[in-house]
Amino acid sequence: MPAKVKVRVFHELRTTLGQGELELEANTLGDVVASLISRNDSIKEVIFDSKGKIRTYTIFYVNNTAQNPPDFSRKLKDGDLVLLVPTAAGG
Amino acid sequence: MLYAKVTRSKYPHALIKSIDTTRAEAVPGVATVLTHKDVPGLNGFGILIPDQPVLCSDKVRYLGDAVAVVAAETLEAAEKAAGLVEVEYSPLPVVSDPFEAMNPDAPKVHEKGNILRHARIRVGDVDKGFRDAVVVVENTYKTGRQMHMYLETEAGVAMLDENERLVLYSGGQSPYRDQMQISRALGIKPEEIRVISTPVGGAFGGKEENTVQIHLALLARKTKRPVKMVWTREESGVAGMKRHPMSVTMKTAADKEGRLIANQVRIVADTGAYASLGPTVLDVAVENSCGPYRIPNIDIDAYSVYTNNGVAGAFRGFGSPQVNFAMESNMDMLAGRLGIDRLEIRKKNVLRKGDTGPFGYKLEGSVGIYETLLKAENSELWRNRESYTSEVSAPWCKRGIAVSTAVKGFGFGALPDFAAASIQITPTGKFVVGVSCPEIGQGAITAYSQIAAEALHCDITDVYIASADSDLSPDTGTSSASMALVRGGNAILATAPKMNELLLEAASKMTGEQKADLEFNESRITSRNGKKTANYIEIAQYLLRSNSTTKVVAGYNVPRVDKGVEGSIEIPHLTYMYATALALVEVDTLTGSTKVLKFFLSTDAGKIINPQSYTGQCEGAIVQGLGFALTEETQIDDGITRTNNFTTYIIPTICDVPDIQIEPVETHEKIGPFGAKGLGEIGIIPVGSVVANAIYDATGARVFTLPATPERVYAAIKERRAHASKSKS
Repeated sequence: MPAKVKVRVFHELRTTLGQGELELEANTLGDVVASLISRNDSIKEVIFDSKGKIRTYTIFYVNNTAQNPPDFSRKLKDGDLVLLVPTAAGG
Repeated sequence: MLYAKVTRSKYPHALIKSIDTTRAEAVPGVATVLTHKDVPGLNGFGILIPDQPVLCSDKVRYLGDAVAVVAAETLEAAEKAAGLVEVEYSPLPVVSDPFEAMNPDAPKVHEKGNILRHARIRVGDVDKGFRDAVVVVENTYKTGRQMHMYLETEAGVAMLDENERLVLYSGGQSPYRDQMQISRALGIKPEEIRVISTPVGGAFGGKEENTVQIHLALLARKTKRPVKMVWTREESGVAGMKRHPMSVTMKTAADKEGRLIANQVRIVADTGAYASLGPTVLDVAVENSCGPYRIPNIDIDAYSVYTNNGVAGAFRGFGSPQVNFAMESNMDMLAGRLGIDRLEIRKKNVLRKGDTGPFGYKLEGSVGIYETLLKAENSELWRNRESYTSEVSAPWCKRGIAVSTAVKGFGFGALPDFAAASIQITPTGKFVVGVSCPEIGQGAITAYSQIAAEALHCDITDVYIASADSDLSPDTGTSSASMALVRGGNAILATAPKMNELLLEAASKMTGEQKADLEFNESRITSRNGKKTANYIEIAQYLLRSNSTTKVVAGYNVPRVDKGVEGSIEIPHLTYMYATALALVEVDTLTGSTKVLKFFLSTDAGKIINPQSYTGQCEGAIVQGLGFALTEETQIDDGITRTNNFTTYIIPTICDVPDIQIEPVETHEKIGPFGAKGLGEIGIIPVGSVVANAIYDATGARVFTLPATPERVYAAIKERRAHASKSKS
């Protein structure tokens, strides 16, 4: 049974998804990413660079602990809170 | 209203053994005293890496670190209570020199080590470039820790509305970024927070990072009362952001014609105690370290290093003024060694549209740097330079004139960047335009009003900008990176056609005319034969009565390069701003005091949208740059800030403002609204270097450290004299 988790997204992802918090069923952090991308493919390039590597300073948090670098195989459990903050800074 | 005050660290580096709030809580009028135990979500903030505690629990890393925060009925009670929070510290060795901090044996500011970021980017073969060179110059340059010194210090008010939803008013540079940081720290949904970034006269990058926001949010949620916090000037000096001091060692080579063939750069940036935007500031310093020049071989090795010296972050120019000082000084030395005119050597090397930039990418955007050099060359100041420099106000004074160029990308470079805007027609036929890039003194609201009025075929007085309110304006991004005009302007231009279509649709139904037979005409839509018309008030009423939508929202993807440069975060930008500056200075050789008499600036900032705002931005940038060049330097000794008010930290006054002449080169930038580019930062970038080069032209003495204080200039003159007499003997 996949876990029921809350996912909060910020910046461009929030505009793209039209909401700041979603409830998803996911076994792993990778499932969360796949689920988000399945809702809108443009999310892929916000999270990953042209080589498919996660963008520097795009940070996932699970229950307020930064996953840096994120382990997409990390298991999630019911009630986990996942935050996804894309790199939205520069000069 | 409650008043809030922060209890800050007493040591620049220490372990916290215990925190006792008993005495503080006993002060009459105190509503609450919060510590790290009261942070329900992530006890950290930072735009890129949240490594700065909201309230410290076990360690402090600089004097500005917050250990507790108090809310009380009066400011006096809050201040008293904040002083009575008892914290037991165990001091640690202070890390104050970034070079020492890089030593593996140095005390660690953070557990992971003191190097926040290391970037190494190589193109071509610098060794071959140096072998082939006719002239090579190599020097080390240092720049000061400049403070933003906006008149309004960091401030805000937070409260709960009638539905107990958190509402925050504060002078930030992005309501949505503040919302993200508050949401993360409080562990609540972003929708539960309304952030209104109130217009301020100045931010200059210093209000990009969280300052008062999370503390106010915590206090308002705890007390359920409005809470206000205003940092004192001294608090802003100790806890606020600073410009990164940098050490830049640069080895630059040219052939006999003066063409640049290699540049080797080593940058060490002191980022202070926390990351904030340090990683990207370093990236931009790397990107601009080779100036607006064609250089086939480059090797850049750059470090951003943690110390206990305050916190450095975003500041107008974002790492560029520091490296520009090095590059433009080396350019003058190359010209001198080769006997080439200083302006000519720059004309010979500057980039042109379609050229390949230093990192191997093709410059697709408009490139007007050569034209800015021509403007400078033809300026009254340059043409009459011999006459100007021959006059002096006293026999011991000497005058000099110099030229510098500058470049900087605008926006977030290769990173994805998206901006949205909304437009609503009101029942009275006017428009509410939602844009979340805050007004920070740059004239954004005026420019947005102009753009919206143009796109919506109405008078500017019929446009109201709902600015930087997370409830009223969609996420347009930040007012930063010289991007507010391009980001917000293009978002409006993406949204306006949707509104126009809505209006046309309604007018067609109202008049019975086909849409193709209708045209916009000053707040009304008329049939081409002129017989039928509906004004915006009538159309708005029709939309309301027919239960149609009156609001549209659209987004704009900021164009960027296909892929970034390996080893960078955001290099390259798709398009850049450019500038050329001239400065005439007079140096008192007895005291080393330097006065800038005349300043000329020509920018390529694309099409000028509002001439008055343009002039204001350029003049403001020049004057702020004069502070960087001549006086402004935050003194921090062993982690202790010595200069935190206007008595000890000297900014230029009106008496220091030279005669300024500004001439734009209006290239057409295809990605900008109506051909505009960014502007806010480019004017400050060449100021330090052009003043230093002019001091050399006046005295023959070169300063390698900014600000060029009288002591430094006098020492350089003395050293030159000593060198000259040694050469004679």
